[in-house]
Amino acid sequence: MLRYAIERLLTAIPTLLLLITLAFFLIRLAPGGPFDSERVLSPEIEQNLNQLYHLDESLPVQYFRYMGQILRLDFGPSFQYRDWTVNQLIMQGFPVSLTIGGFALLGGLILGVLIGLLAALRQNTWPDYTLMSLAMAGLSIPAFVLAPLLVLLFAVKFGWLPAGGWEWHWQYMLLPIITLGMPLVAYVARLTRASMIEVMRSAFIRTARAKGLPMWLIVLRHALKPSLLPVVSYLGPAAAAIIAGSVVIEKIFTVPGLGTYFVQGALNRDYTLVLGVVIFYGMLIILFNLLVDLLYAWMDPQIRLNNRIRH
Amino acid sequence: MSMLGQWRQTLWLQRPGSLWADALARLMRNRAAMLACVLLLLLVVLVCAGPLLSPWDAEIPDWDNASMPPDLSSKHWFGTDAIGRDLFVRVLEGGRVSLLVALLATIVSLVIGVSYGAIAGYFGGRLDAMMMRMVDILYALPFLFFVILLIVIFQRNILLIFIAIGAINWLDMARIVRGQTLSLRNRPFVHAAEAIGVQSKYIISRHIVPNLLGVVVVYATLTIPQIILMESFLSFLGLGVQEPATSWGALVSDGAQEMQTAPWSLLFPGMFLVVTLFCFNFIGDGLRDALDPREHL
Amino acid sequence: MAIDPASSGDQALLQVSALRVSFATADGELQAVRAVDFSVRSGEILAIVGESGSGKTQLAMALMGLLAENGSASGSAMFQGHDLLGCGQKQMNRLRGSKLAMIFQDPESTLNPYMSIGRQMSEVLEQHRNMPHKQAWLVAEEMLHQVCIDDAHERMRQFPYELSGGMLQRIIIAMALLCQPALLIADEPTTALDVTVQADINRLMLDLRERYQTAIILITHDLGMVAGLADKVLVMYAGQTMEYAAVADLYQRPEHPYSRGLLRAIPQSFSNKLAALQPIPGNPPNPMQLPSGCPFRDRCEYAFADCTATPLLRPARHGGLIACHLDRLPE
Repeated sequence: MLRYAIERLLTAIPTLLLLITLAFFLIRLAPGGPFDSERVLSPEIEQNLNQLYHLDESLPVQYFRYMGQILRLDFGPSFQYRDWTVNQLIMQGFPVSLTIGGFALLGGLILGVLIGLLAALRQNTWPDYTLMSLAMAGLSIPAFVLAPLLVLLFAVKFGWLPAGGWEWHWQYMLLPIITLGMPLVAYVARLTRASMIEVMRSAFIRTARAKGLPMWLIVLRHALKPSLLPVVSYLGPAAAAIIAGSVVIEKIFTVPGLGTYFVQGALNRDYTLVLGVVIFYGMLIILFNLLVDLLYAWMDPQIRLNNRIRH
Repeated sequence: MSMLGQWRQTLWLQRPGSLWADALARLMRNRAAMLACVLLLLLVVLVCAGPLLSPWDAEIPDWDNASMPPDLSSKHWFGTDAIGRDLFVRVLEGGRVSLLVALLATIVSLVIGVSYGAIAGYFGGRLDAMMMRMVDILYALPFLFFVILLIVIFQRNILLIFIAIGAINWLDMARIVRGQTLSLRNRPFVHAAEAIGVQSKYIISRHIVPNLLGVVVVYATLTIPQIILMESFLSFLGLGVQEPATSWGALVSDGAQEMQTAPWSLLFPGMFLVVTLFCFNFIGDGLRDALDPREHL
Repeated sequence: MAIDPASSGDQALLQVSALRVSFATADGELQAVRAVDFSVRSGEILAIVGESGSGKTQLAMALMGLLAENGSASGSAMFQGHDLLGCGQKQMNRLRGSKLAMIFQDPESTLNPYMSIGRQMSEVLEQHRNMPHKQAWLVAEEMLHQVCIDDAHERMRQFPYELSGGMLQRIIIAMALLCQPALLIADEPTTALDVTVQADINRLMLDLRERYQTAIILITHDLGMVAGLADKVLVMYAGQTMEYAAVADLYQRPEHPYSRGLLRAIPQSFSNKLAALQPIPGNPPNPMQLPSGCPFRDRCEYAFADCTATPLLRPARHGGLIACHLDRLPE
């Protein structure tokens, strides 16, 4: 297990370096340089800026300076929000995004797994068909179509919930969390159902039945863990999808999260901010993947005891 | 169960071509998938030919008739948008962009994914380990954000953006193809081809790739809706298709702005988008079930 | 030896009559087993022999209540006063693993890869004997000793992927015997194993029969293996009984052309020339489209006009039963 953990950690490092390198060179691909924009800067300011961002140094020096800076988690000043550093902006927006995303991820997982299990154990009956049709709808209705409809219904028509904005209060969180988590519920439910059905057909479940164990015990003790493994593998992509989805959700509900800053930054060509958010989220995903890998290994004795990677 | 499978295998599936015939028969029995096929076909025809039916132009504003509800007599079948452009034509034009862009990006991702996966799976060993480690690393990058970054840097060239999306959407395909190739690689016909000295590139192109067709078809069908979604997503954020051109995502975004006063401007593009995604998902599911009969036995 | 299932009913441990198994498939009903009768007495070993697809495995599954969801069984299978085909899930769970046990073909996939050997064994005792976990663990470990596994203490903590196929099959047998079942069904227990290991497993089963008086139904396609193990043999073809006889009788004077065909397809020993091996030409019929009359007639060298009618099971010269229109099998 320890060796496996170290091995995974060693994979995370090149990923991190690649992330930063890509970001570094992408920003330098920008036509004319990162600090050219529509507005005209006086040569003096431009020189100051170049000095401030060390653009007068050679490329390798810049690269390593940049790398060091990022590894110290210093994303520099924002180009558009003059008096803010990117770090400050992230600290401002991230707690909001984390709250919505965290609840959506957690709720989506739990609900998805429960629905998937129920459908699998009632395979080819009407609860199964109903749940899977709903899951298909969940996959096929994009959040930005669902969200306005929910707003129209719950905020405009019934007036139960606010149509947008942000307070640290559940009423403001509910609709964003539901729209963000819905595709996840649908996907996880389908994943869980398929893997549970497959596991229930495997030879070792037949053995468990031949032992005279009651069905509930077979499901809980023998089938649950292996059928959750694909869900665990999906956790990484799920987190990435939640992060991407939060960008849209925050725009729709005008939630002042990191996604909103990011889109604003993108539209205003605030390179440092955009870059900072990309790297920050990239690091987050890498860290999350690492944790998921460890969780998977802990669940699968073959990896836990053998230090072998199995895909 | 296993016995039934065994019988199928020994008695029927040995006949050449009957794997596909069987799959087709199973697909035809899947009512949801067949309905989706028909719907999608209708939709494509409508999107291609529909604008010809309407007297209106997609891009010319008509301020006098702004935000008009659907009306048959004026031939604004879906109503008009906030600056009076006909929504029927715009929805179909937008559909053209969404579908075309999705197709293009899917082809790009398919070509890269299949070649990458087939090479890694076929040659195996060190090369495979290296290539798959690379995929692992790429997996962990927040790609959507990179796409947005690209858009910011390269301005908004929709074609370029979707080639880029296709170019980063190949990871899943590569993994699936690699797994399939690994198992094909150990089949007798590949060993036989090697034994008589057929070159690797011919073995890959003539023996491996054709046998991968099943998974590739299934996965391509499931990739198209993903890319449609991604395009809508970007357009919704104002980072995709730019005015006066449009796409379903852009239309939904516009519609959401005025859904309280003009709900039809959200409803129609939203409906087209959702129905299309439904169709592709159902067809993809149906194809997977048809080509992989395990679920059925 | 009285082999007629009807006459040995009073002392039989398991009495199967008119057992049918069918599956509802998309292409129609598939009859896997068509009216099979037999009986097994305590401590007896019955071999059920047939080619793959003859329905022998599905017969065992039906007895264990393990048919796939689209399968159904009719007839009766009386076992210690319970009808295995109609006693319901709850009663079945009381019998399975305790009075009635089964071991399967492929040991590598039979055990749960995510649970330790010890956990998988001890849960049987916890379930049927209400033993606390610790005690069950010790009893299970003792059972591993019984089937001659070295380092039993160590093995209990290991996971299936860490062990060889032969070792796993021993463990599976030990697991099946934990509650000292009256009847053990073994479905091709050695097919997936090396030849040297096969002999070990066979010896183990004989030994256990002696020790616990366990009756065994041995399902196999290998008549050679049957010779050293079984007391009587049921030869199945296309879901039907072809011949049912004591093992010595069947070997010395088989009366059904199919049985003789199977016997001639066994390599006897090195002294026999390979040329003496005679495979049965042709393939078993498609179970979805069974021909009327004798199912074997297309492959039978002695088929004649009568064979278009279904042959009934009748007393044979050797005292068993056969289903064949031939009065006497030509030499």
